[in-house]
Amino acid sequence: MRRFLAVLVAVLTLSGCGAVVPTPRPPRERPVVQPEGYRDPAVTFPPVPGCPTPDLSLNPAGLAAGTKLALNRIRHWNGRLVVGLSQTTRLFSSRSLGTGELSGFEVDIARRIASELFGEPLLSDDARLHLVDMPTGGRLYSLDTAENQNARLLRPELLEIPTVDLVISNVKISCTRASSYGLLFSAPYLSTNTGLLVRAGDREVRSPDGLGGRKVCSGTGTTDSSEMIEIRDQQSGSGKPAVIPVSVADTSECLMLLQRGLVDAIYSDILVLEGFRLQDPSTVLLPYRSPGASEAGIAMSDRDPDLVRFVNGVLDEMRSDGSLAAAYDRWFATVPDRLPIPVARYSD
Amino acid sequence: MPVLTRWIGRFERRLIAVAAIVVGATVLTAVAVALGLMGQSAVRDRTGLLDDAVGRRIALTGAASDVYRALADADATSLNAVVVGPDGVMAEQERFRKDLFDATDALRVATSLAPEGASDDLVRDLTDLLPEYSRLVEAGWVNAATDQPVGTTYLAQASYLARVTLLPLAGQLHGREMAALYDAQSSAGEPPWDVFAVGAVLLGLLVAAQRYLARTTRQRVNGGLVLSTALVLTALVTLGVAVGLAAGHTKDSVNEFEGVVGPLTEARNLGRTADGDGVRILVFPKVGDIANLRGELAAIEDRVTSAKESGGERLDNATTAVEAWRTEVAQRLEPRNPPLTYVERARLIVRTEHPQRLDEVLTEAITRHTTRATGNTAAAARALAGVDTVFLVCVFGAVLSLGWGMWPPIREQY
Repeated sequence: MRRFLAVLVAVLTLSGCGAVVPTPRPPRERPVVQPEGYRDPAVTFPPVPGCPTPDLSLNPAGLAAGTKLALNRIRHWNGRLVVGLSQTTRLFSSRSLGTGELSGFEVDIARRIASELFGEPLLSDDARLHLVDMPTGGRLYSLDTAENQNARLLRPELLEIPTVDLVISNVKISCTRASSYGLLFSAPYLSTNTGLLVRAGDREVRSPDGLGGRKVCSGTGTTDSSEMIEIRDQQSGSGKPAVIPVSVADTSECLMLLQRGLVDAIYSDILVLEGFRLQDPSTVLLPYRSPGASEAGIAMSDRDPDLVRFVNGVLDEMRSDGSLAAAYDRWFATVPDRLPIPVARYSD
Repeated sequence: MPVLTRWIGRFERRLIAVAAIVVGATVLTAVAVALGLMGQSAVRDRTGLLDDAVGRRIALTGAASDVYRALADADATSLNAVVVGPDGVMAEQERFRKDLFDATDALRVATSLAPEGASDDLVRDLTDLLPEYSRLVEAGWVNAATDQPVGTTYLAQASYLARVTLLPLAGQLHGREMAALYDAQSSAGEPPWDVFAVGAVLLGLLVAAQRYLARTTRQRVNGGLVLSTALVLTALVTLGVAVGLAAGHTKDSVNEFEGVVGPLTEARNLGRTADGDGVRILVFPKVGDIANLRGELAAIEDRVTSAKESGGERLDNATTAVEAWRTEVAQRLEPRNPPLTYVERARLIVRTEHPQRLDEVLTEAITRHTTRATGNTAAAARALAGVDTVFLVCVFGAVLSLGWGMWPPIREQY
């Protein structure tokens, strides 16, 4: 009997050893979906060469003496002014997709220029003002210049970009842009510096030093992105925890990434950041400001110097009658420490 | 002594003759049995493939196609929902949610019908990403409803996810299932050359046995062997005819799937993608969008023409719808001076019914041709029905006849 029990125990033990063990489910991560062109970490683009007189435009006083080819074309031949704008930059120019209406600081400027051009106030649906939204990655190709014509020959897909008379789309004035696209800029209508937008829980952060080890988002290839990379290198050099700069093709994607918890801060133009903050009240624009400032101007073809002078004249009028400041206050009143509207500087 | 030697010699010759007959009969029986088993197995394999195609693979391919169509439609609908105006928003949002449900349901069907692990990786990747896709679209709608531009960013991200990841995965799934269906049907229609080869060997051996017995015995014609030969021949001819008929039907079915259903499914998918491209031009225009739309409409026309040339019927309405879509919408979106305003583009893109019309016409044609192709596959399966039994009975009869034919020569030696 004892032997039988011993054998039974041995058999049961061995059969237990051979029993099928359930396979544990392998651990898996939730997939993270990033936008097209997302870079982590951000990379530095070749530095932009220096520019001796970046912000000098053409004096409106010269308009009377010169030819008015562009103005005649717009007023008499075409009978319309075509302006390229963004449709997704809140406060500057954004569109209600339901109604199709565009509104913002830059839309106000476009309407005033058109009114002055045609000599009377225009209603919002006046066919003489054509507001056209620009495709991402191609807004400055929309101007009729020799450089852009060559680019269109080399890249036929650029032919899709509509041709416009002016681009008013928070275009930062730079010599590189002027020479690459064959542009002329108006006198600046906006001056701004860079700041940080974070989630409300991070309102105690004072500067990029408080964001060590966390992701900070900027637009790819922008000065903001290069500055953040520089800040990271300085932090690493001084032994501090360094920020992780990441970049996206379009700065507006940074807000989506912040909302989805995929980045911890956005480093960009404070006026753009204010537009983000208004879209998401759970975010905070920090008091931190970068030391440098940049200016935005209206971009036009270098074939249209008379139009540049005319636009500068309208901007001068808006400065003197207070309408530019009124529009600036109307749209950006909530931005703390914003820079004043820059004065016009002309080369002639 | 010479008498004894002669007697022993005769006995040896008879013994050798009997042994040769017995060995020959054994070899013939073994080859016949092998032929019977091979023939039956060949027929059963083919019937199994065809039954599997009718009962499972065609449904699986349809489910994989539905995944693509539902996701491509969801891409277009997610964007339509923010541009149609207040009256149409709820309908578009409902349609998007139904599309996602359809895609998930089709994935469930694909998983339940797929052989163990065949498309696991693709189904897993798709099911992983669908919740994230849905979240992006819903967040986009909530923000767009209050005119927040970040809504457009969410929708752009969702559309990018759909076009760059989800649709290619769904396309791979469909392609993989289509290829498996073609393979199964083509294999079912292939002649069983191995069976014919063994059958030919057996017939040769039977003829050789006949000649040997005619030479070594008094029998000029062996009835058993003749009957056995006739039965083997009958089995092989029955098998050949049945497989030939099945091959004809499967060829028709593959041609229908490959030449008509495949191109039409691609055309329908391209139509849904082009519809999404149209709305994308309105919501977040990008360089290259118009060229994409132009290319997709041309590709749809190519696929429809190809389907027509392969026997596709009643496709004129599809051609008309594509042509109308091109002339009334796509060509008007081409660069022009002055450029179209948002309202003008919205009127062209949102109000057009050609994409919907094209989708309906193609769906109708796909359903019609899929039914016909399925009918051909079922006919192929019917052509093979019972052939395995007939084949086995004939070969079994041949073995019995062999025994009946071999016994008299053996007895004659004694």
